[in-house]
Amino acid sequence: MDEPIRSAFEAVHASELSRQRTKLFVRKKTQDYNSRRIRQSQRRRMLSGLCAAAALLCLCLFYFTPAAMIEMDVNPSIEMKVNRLDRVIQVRGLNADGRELVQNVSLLNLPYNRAVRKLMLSQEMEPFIRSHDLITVSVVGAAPGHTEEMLANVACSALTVAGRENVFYCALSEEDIRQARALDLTVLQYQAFQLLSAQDPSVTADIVRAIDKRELLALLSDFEMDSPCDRAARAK
Amino acid sequence: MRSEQDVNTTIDQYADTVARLCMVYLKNPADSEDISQTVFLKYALCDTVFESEEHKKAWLIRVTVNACRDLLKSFFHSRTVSLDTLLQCPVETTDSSREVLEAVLALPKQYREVIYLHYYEGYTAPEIGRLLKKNTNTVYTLLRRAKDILKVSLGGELNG
Repeated sequence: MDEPIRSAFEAVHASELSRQRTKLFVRKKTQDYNSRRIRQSQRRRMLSGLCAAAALLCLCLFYFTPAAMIEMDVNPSIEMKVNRLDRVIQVRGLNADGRELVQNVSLLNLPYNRAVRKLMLSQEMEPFIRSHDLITVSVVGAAPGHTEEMLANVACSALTVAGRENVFYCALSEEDIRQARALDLTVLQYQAFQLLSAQDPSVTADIVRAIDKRELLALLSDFEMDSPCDRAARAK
Repeated sequence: MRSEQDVNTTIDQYADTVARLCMVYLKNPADSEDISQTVFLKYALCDTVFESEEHKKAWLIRVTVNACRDLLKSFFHSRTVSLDTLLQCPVETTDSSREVLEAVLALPKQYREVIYLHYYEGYTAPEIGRLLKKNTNTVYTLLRRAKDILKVSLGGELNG
């Protein structure tokens, strides 16, 4: 049976025209496919580049967005901005001594704890610490819990170096610091102004500005129940 | 993707095989070219590494069978032509061969495919079973029944 069937099918051929048309069709389609693939790969490359750039931008935005601010006022006044990872991302001197100090002590990208310690132990700060000048440390942040924790850590570092009687520390909201600057008061003066004006509304910012720092501290210590450093130690 | 030279060589080598399978399945020469283009385009774009020429041929047969089945599913009623129309297509054959071809193409589809693969392509029943995803015993049964029908329809022509 094999032979007749084989002979019957043997006679069936794809015509030469059909072969040529098939070759042409495949060539055209593969060329289209190739150019589409090139376009797709170019698009993919561009898209991955854009994604990488967007990711980098997000990372930069995340890293360089300040989440809290630490202000230290001795004579040199310094402002440190801290990101969500608790790293110092910006340091600024608020007066001439402060500007000179930040030029000599590198604090950028350090964890804020280490930055404060480094600053307190720096050669430039030594004369102020030795002369028992009053050190004001304030932490400003949007998240109250985190601000308290930062204040406890910063205050502990400051107290260790300068002694309890020489350090004033407080946590402030962003609104508080705006108000203090609007009234041209230091953090210490503003805290005292708030307390005094609550007792006696006739107390003005000018009156508070005229009071000596030590007197203001003594005034405030009457109201202060305990320090954040003590609270942190108790929590531990 | 394969080179143009490789594709053209394969078309020259296997265009007849694809055309014959199309005839077995579709009985319509007009669709044969469409299927042929689909099959060789798939070959051009696929990344399959063939171990041998036999492997490549089996792959092409498998793809052709699937393409024909897909076409039959979608266009069966509207595109089928009569056997007379089919045999108007250019086939250089003698009267007896033409008669055999007519008889084979008049068989039900499941018989046609096994007859073609066994008698023309020389595949064994287990090989046909693998190609068509059928049980080997089913293939044997189909072959026996197809032979019986052909013997009846062709009388003494298939003796031997």
